[in-house]
Amino acid sequence: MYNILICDDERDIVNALKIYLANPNYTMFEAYTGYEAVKIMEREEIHLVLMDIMMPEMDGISAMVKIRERSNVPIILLTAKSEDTDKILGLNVGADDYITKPFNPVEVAARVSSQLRRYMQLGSGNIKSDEYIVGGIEVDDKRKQVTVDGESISFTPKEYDILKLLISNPNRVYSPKEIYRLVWKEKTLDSSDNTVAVHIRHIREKIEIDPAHPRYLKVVFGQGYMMEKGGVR
Amino acid sequence: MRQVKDFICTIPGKVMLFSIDILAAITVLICIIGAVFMSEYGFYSGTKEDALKKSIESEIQVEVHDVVWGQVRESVDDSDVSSNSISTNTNLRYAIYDSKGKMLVQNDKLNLKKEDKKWKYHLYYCGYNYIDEFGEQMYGFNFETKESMQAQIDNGIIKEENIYEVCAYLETQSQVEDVYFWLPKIINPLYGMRYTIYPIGVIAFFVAVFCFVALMYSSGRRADREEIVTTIFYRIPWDFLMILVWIICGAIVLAGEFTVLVLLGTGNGVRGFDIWHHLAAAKITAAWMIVYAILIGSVCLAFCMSTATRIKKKDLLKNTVLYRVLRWIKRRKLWGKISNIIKQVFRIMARSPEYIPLMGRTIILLVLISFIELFVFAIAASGYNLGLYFAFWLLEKMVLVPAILYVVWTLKKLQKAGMKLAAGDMDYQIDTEKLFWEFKQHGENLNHIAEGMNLAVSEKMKSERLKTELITNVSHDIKTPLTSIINYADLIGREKCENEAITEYCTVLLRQSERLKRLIEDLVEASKASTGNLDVELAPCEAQIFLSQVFGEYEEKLKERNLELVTNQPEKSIFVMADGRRMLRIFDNLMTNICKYAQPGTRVYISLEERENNAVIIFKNISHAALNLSVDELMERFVRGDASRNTEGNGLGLSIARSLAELQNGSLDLEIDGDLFKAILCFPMLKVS
Repeated sequence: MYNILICDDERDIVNALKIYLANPNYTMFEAYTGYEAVKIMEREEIHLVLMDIMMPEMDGISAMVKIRERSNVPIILLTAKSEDTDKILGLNVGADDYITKPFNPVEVAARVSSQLRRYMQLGSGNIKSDEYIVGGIEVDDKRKQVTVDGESISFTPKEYDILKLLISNPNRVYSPKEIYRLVWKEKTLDSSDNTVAVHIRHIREKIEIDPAHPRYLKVVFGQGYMMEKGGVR
Repeated sequence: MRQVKDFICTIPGKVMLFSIDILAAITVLICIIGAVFMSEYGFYSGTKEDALKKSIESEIQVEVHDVVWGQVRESVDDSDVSSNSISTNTNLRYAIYDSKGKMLVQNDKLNLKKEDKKWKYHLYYCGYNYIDEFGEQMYGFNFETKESMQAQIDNGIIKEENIYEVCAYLETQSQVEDVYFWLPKIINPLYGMRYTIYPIGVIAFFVAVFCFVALMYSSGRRADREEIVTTIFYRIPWDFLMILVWIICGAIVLAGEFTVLVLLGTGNGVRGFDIWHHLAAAKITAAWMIVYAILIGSVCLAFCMSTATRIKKKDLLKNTVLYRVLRWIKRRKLWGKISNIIKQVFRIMARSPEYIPLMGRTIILLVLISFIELFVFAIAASGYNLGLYFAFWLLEKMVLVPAILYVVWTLKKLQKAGMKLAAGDMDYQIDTEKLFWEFKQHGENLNHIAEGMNLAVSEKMKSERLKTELITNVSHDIKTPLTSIINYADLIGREKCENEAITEYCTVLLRQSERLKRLIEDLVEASKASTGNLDVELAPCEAQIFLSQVFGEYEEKLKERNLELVTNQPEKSIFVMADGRRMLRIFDNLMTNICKYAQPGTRVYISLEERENNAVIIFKNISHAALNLSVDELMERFVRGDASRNTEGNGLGLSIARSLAELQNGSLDLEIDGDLFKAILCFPMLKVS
C-alpha cells in the first residue's frame, strides 16, 4: 500500500487524478494549498507527492522546500508552467519529476508508478556488474533482458545492442555513424542510410512513456543520440 | 646708531641724503655712459693716440658725409649739387678724390696731391653692390677703414672704381673752437681715468642705493615724533601723483630741448651736427643734460619717498582716485547696476554668434582674414619687407592650420558617431567636452538622437517582453481549465455508453481540446521566438545527421499518409552552428506541415546542398490543395495552407520556424511553384579544420 498526496487548488483536477490513479495499492490524500500539503505530510506517512505550483496561501515550490526539510519522498510537480526556467527551478529545488498541464493521464500514472518503484525498491542502489540502470530502465546483459519500470520488454538483437551501447555510456552522444560502426561492426555508413535513426525510434517507442517527449533516449539534433541519466528533461 | 637714525629723520638730514642720492645716481649714470663711450673708441684696446685718432675720424665722417655724398650723386647723375654744405668754420682741412686720383672738392685752397704726406687722416667712402644671402640686391655707400675696404674688395663686394678717398689734416694754428680743438682736451683726462671710473661707478652705486634705502626709511618719520608724519603731497591721491610725475618729467625734457634750440639755433646758424662740433653748444647741451638728470631724479625720488610714506601709513591704495571712485560706487550701491551692465555686455558678446547665422559668421571671418592678409601684404610690399610678410605668413599658418585640423578632427569625430548611429550602436556617445560652438551642439544632438533611439528601442523591447509575459501568463491560466476539460472528456470516453452519438461527441471534444492545447503552446512559442526571448545555445552540428534523424523520426508518420521520403545529401560532412532543440522544432514544424498538406502517394524530398558557404536544406512536396496564397501570406501568423481552416493546425508553424531559424543566424524561405511547395532553410557553414 502506497500513500499518495495530490495537491492542487483545482478540485476538478484532483478528482480527475484520483480517478486516473485509482488502484487497490494506492491510498489518496488530498490537499488544496501548499500549507495543507505540508500539514498532511507531518501527519501521515506519504510515499509520493503530486503537486501543483501555483496555489493560494503557499505555492508548490515553497511547500516542496518545506517537505524536503524532513522527507526524501518523491515529488512530481504537475503544473501549467511550461517554461524551461520553471522546470529547471523546480528540479533544482527538489522535484523528482516535472509534468506540464494539460497532461496525458496515462503518462502521469506511468510516472507515478515509476517514481514509487524507484523510491521503494531501488533505494539502496546495489548494482550488479553486467547490469545497467538508467531511471526505470534496467538492462541485464547476462540474461539479455530489458525491464522498464519492472516490466520486461523484448528487443531485436540490433535494438538490444544499440540500447546496451547507449546505456553503458550514459550522457555520451553517439553519432549515427558511430553507432553503425560499433553495432553493425561495418566500417562506413552511407550518409543517406537512415537505418540507425529508424532503429532508435523503435527503441524509444518501447522504453519511453511518451516517445514524442523522451526522458531517457534523447535526440541530440544534428549530433546524434544519447541515454540521459540523472535528469528528467 | 640711534643718533644717525635720528639725524636722517630730521629735515637737514633728509635734504643731505636726498642731494647725495641724486649726485651719486648721476655719477653712476655718467660712469656707465663714459665706460660705453670709451670701449666704443678703443680706450681699452689701444694707446691714447689711437683713441684720439679714432674719435677724430668718426667726427670727420660726420662732417664730411654730406659733401662726399653730394659728389657721388654729381658723378652718378650729373646733378648740380651746391657746395653750401662745405663749411670753412672748422679746423678740418680736407680734399676728396675719386678712384682715379682726381680731386673732386676741397674745403680750402690746398691743392695737395692724394699721396701728399701732409694728409694725416684717410677715409674711404666706398660704394658696395652685391647680392646677399637672401638673394637681395644690396647697394649703397659706407665709410670704411683701409683694412675693411681691402677685405671687401677681395670679396668682390666693393669695386675699386666706386671708392672715393677723403684725405684730411687738422689746422694747428689759429684754431677755431670746434670739436677738433676740444676733443684732445677731453680725451687726455678721460684716457687717464679709463680704469678709475669703474670703482668710482661702483662706489657711487652703493652710495646711491644706501641713500635710497635710508631715505625710504626716513620718509614720513620725524626724530621727535612717533607717528608717521605727512606732508602736503600726501593729500594728492597716489595715482594722480604718479600721472603728475610723468607730466612734470615730460615738461622738463621738453623745456630742455626748447632751451637748447633757442640758445643755439638763434646764434651763428649752426646745423645739426654742429651742436657737437662747437664747444659752446656742447657745453650748453651737457649742462642741460645734468639739469635734466637732477630735476627728473629729484621728482622721481620725491615720488618714491611719498610712496614709502603712504606704504607706512598703510593707505597706498586707499588714497587713490580709483579707490575713491570705487568707494563712491559702493556707497551709492551702484555695484549691482554696474555688474549687471557688465554682465549684460558680456552676455551679448557671448551670445552674439547666435544672432548671426553660421554662414554669415563664416563669411565675416573669411572676409576679416582676407582683409588682414591684404593689409599686411600692402605694408610689406610698400616697404619691400619680405621678413614682415614671412613672419605674418608663419603666424597665420600657425593659427589657421591647427584651427583647420581641429575642424577636420571634429568632423571626423562626428562622422564616426553618425556611422555608429547608422549602424545601430545606440550606446555610442560623443565626448562633447572637447568640441566647441556648432560642433558641440551637433555632437549633443547626435547623442540625443542615440538616447531617443535607445529609449524607443528599450520601450519596444519592454513592450514586447510584456506582451510575451502576458501571453505566457494567460496561457497558464487557460491551461488549468483546459486540463480539466481534456481529462473529463477522456473520462467520458472511457465510460461504457450505449448512445454512440455521445461517444462521437466526446471524440470531437477531445480532438478539439487537444488542438486548443497545441494552439496555446504554439502561441507562447511564437511570441517568444519572434521577440527573441528564447535562449539559444549554438553548438557545431552535422547537417547530414539532421536529415538522417528526421528520416528516423518521421518515416512512420509519412508512411501513414502514404508519402515516400527521399533524402539527397553530399558525402562530404557539412557542419553548421545550431541549437539542436530549436532546430528540431523547425524540422518538426516543417515535417508536420508536410504530413498535413502533402498530396498522399507522392514523394517528399529533403536535400542538403552547399551554396556559397551556406548549408542549404530544401524540403519539397506536392500540396494536395491548390496553394492560392502568396509566400508572404503563408509566413504570417494564423494563416494556413487551406482557407477553410477545418483541418488541424493553427498557422503558427512556419512563423515559429522562421523566427527560430533567424535566432540561430539562419533563414527560412518559402517558394511556391504551382503545387510544388518548397521550404528552404539556409545556415552559414562552419569551417571545419
